[in-house]
Amino acid sequence: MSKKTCAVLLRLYPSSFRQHHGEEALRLIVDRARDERGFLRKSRLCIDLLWDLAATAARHAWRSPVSQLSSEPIAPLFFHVVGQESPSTPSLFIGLLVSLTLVATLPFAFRANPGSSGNWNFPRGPVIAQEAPPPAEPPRPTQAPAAPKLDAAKRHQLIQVIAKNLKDHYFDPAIAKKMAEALRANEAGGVYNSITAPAAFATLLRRQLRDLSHDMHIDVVYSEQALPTGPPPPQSAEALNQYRARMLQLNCTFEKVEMLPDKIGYMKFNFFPRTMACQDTAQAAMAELNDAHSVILDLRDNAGGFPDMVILMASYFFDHPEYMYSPRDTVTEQSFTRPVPGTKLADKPLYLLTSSRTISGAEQFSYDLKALKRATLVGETTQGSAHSGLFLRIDDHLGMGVPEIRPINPFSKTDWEGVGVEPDVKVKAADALTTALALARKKSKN
Amino acid sequence: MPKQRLNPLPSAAFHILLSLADEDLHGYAIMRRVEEQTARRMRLGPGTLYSSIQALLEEGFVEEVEGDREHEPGHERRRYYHLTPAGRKLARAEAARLADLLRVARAKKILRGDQI
Repeated sequence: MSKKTCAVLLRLYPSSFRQHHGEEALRLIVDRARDERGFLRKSRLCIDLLWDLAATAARHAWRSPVSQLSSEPIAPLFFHVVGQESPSTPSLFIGLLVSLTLVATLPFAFRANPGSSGNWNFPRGPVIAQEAPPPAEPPRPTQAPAAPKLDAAKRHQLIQVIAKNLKDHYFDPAIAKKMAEALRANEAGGVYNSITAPAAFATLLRRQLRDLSHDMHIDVVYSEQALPTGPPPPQSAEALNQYRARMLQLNCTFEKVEMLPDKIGYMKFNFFPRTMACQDTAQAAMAELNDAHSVILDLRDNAGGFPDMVILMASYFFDHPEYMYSPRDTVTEQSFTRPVPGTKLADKPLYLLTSSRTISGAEQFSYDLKALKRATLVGETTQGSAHSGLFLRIDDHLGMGVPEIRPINPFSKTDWEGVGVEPDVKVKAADALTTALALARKKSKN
Repeated sequence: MPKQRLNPLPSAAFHILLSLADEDLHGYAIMRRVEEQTARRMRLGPGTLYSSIQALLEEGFVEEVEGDREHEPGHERRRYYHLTPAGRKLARAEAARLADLLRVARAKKILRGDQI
């Protein structure tokens, strides 16, 4: 099945489905068409798609009230052109067969949901080789109450606020303008007409804004609870004490500190907590590794944290001040490492273990030490979350995150936003420690 | 009356939650994983798969994450999906419900001896 046939087939799916999932669905069909070899498997793919098409068409037709359908703009019929070559005769034949069978199958598909209660708008299953549905008697998980619905006026108001927030706060005015214009064009084109659930609206806007900006820190979120108004209250001394106590209870997330054979120091820590709570714990942990010949820091489960701890931890590995670039902060005195009296680790080989879960502050730590050629990164590309910024309230239940600043990076034109930090030695996260140990032993023998 | 979109939890949605229990996957990988975990009995088509994912996203049971593109040919940008704590809880509750059913079926001697 050619890409063109897949694209034509996709056009048979309901427009509301294609609007939200067209690109991904096309890729899935193309991927499957590529992987299914042989006549039997290709035939099975066709049958599967037919069933799925019928079920999806039935589901969407049933879900869409006439008023919603009539409010959608009537787009001219067009086909995605994904290649220059004309479709082959077999492809055209399959397309024709699919269309005819669909028409013949639709009446049955409409009767395929006998158990529906009338307010169900979730797919009942894959339709393909469906497993027997379980009886309904046992208790079910409880659900949260539904959200208030959106109408056209409310959607318009929300889009206006979001566009203004982007214009006022996003660090790149050109991209902010592009995003705002795209949202308004989508609204004018009726893309949001069928969306009445605030949570779905937030999800779609988040996806669209991230696709447009390639910035994973732009966020639109829905909260079941009403969002607070006004500035957040200042942290009380009591709250800070509670934070300190909680961190100490968790040993400041230092999970393992060990001296392994061959004097290889190994430390696993899963967060960069604030130094006001954890400086002493960090100091004690680092002191245990002070006599190591080389050090492995395990950041595979590290979820980021606070910049002051990122700087403190890096400081142990330099005997002079170094600028630690952060895409979130402008340069201040606090952006530089400060030599730590008594540390013997400044000239010791350093390995950082990374995974696709390594994120945020842990990525800054990895990125800077790699860029400064101070550490060897072993493992997987990190998650790719570089920017942070303001959280802005849009209305009682919707809010958005807008990155406000993007300081100059001394190492590269880009940072790790959306792409992650590439390791020097790429191995699966599960193999990273073994690989780093081998590297450390090899280096110590040389 | 509020809609209860995932109550009862459809089998496709349950299988999607299970497929994401170990690692984040993109759409096609979810489809393949579900096929594997059902011994090829369930092959999710794009309509069912993405409509189910959309409902799970809206209810906060899964979330979109940036994928690790190093394993993909041509480094194509794909949407990966991640099981949230709420999604894991939901899957656990559904599994417990099915286990209860299984106990009843065993007690009624509906299952043969070789079936777990």
